[in-house]
Amino acid sequence: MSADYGKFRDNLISLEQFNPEIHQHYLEEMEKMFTQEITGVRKFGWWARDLFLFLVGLVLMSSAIFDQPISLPIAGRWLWGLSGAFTLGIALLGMRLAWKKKIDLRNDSKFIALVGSSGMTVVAFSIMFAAFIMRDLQNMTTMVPIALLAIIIGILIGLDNRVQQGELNTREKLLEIEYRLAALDERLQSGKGGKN
Amino acid sequence: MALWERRLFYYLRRLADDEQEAWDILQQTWLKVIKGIPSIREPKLFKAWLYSIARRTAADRIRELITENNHRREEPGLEELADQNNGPEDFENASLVHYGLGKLPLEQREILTLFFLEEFSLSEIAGILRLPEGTVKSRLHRARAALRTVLEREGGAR
Repeated sequence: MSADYGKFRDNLISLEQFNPEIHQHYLEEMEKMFTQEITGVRKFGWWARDLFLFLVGLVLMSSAIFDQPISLPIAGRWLWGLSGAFTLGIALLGMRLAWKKKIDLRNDSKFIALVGSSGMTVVAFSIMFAAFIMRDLQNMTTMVPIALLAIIIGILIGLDNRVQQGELNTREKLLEIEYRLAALDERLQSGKGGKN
Repeated sequence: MALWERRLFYYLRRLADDEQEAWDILQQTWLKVIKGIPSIREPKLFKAWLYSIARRTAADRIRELITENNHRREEPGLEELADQNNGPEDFENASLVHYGLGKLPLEQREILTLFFLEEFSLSEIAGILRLPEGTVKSRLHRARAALRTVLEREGGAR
């Protein structure tokens, strides 16, 4: 595209003036369309999940730093500690959104689903790996359920995202139906003419 | 979004009866675009895809857009169109073009807007309007001639 053409187009576009109030309304509607409030039971669920994850993260990190699994080699211990830090990160991310009381369906929910489910899978495998290399039956009986729990949390985070995306689909369908009905109504009331 | 907002709004405003309707269609368009973006495999097709979504969304609300595609008119032979200018260079004054577009019927207004706004090729416009390329070529030719007539008439009157 030539510079002259770009300038021509920019001039053309700048000639289309719009009412700032209607534009502001459009921006607000856009914001609303992609935002979901976290209220009621859902809000409680979010806080419970994130507080739980926060505690799990703290426990994993403190155990990696201060006490067991003392029999772990240094690499395993690092992995253990990083799993804790990752869990803490996911918890803090969730808490931030719960505090804001709303999710941006375009970005936040996909990001949480991606980080949450993949992160919890990494945590689960790290714990299982640590348990395996320790070869300590007593520790394994504690760590394997923790790993399974991490997998379940990861699945729940992914499912939550699917529900949100489903809601977005439903909202789109409802909008479509609404618009079609409005257009039909308009057509029934009068023969519609073209623009100026 | 901000990058495309004004361009799409300009296009939709040429189709819609009023400003509010154009913003509503744009809002609905974004919803579809955001959900459909993962299905885009060729980034260079994005622009035409974006406009075709906007067009389809507008067609849900603007009856004329659906009916005009069903109109069958006698199209001029392609050889008649051979001398047409392929660029917007012969319409240099954006203010005049903007004014002239408002004087044209919807069918011509739309095809010229696509042409001036994005310099779409015939095949891209054909894809957006879901029309054969030959039809697009003849419509574009007629639309340019109509715009030229409007501008000459207005120029003479001033």
